[in-house]
Amino acid sequence: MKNINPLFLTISCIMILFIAIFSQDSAKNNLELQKKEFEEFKLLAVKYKTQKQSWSDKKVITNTIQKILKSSGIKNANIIQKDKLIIVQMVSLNITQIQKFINNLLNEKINIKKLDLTNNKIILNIGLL
Amino acid sequence: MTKTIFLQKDTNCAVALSSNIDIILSPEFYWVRLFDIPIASKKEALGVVPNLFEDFFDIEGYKFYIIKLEEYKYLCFAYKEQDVLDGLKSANIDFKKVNNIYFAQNEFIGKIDDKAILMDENKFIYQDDVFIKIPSTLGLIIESVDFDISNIVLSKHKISINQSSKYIDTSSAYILSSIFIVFSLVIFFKTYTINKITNQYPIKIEQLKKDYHLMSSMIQTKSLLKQYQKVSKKYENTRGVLQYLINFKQKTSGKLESIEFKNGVMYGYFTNSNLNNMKIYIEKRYKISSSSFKNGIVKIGIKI
Repeated sequence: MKNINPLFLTISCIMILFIAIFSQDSAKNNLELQKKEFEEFKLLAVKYKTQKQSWSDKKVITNTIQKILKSSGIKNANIIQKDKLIIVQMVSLNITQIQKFINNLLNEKINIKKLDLTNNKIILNIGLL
Repeated sequence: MTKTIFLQKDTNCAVALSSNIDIILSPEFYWVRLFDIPIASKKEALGVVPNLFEDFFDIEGYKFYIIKLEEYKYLCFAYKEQDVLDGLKSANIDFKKVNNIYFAQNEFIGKIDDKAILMDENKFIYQDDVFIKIPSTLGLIIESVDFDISNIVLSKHKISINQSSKYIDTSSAYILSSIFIVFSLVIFFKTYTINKITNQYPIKIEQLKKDYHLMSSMIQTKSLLKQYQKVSKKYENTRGVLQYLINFKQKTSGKLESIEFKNGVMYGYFTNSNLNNMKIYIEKRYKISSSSFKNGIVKIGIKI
């Protein structure tokens, strides 16, 4: 210890300090990068989940249809579920029910594959992804 | 192997030395004096020595070394590091090769008795227990003996010199270094904490994948998301066309009999309506893919 050159010692400690500062800076940048990546990923995940529910989730879509039917006052609808398709058949409808149904349908996200609308019946095919 | 050199102001080692060296400083390089100091501790006594030497010369730039001879009696040395370094330089001695530096005062006691010794044409002797250089005029009349310095057993009293002392002194270096080390440790600890937080993000992402039932790879997820967005866009178009067909009455007369959507084409069937008027209305926003008038029914098709 006695023979350590004080200038060498001081310079070495300054270098250690610089290394510490540099490594902290690098760690901070890495953290920011990871944070950003995580936030982007989270956003993507939320987007994915929302989209999946709207276009792929049979349960969610069926619930949406039932909600529309209920608020349109349609009770005698026939819902047929197939692999990638949900068919909703409504007959003996009055104009009010049709108008309400269409209005409600326009306010929901539904992948309309086929629509047959007359003045007393609606046949709606909803596609699933 | 270590070589010993008796360093004088006029020493010159013509051949570069390859081995390590112990240096014995001739009296030209230091002041020596016996002081009675009423302090028992050697360390504390060293603290007052500069003041005692101050009565004899300007102590600016001097370093001090003391040897406790007996209780309250100290042999004190004062020397300038720069003088020693200059002496080494002029003697052509590489400082890096110097092991230890000794004072001649301590190294010849009991080895030369009262005789004068000849070292590189200069004579030295103990006078009143102080090792001195005999002035050259007196040297001629005093007899001397040769002394082989290569086998000398050196004392434990040695000094060390830091070459960088002119830039920073040892205590300041230690204080500064300690501060830097403390700062470095704090920063390293902070870095460790940051890295720990950073390392949690991949785990969080994996958890997110599970929670949101994402596909195993990002490419698959993005591809599916792209499909969803495509469908979403198509839905927006379908919704827009449907709404536009339903709202036809705002601009033209007639009755919407039915709507049919199949194979990506939306057909509107109107009665009591004029085909041209209906076409004008539709074309304001959409491109008509097909249109006809048959049995009083206007049929307009819009490609989505």
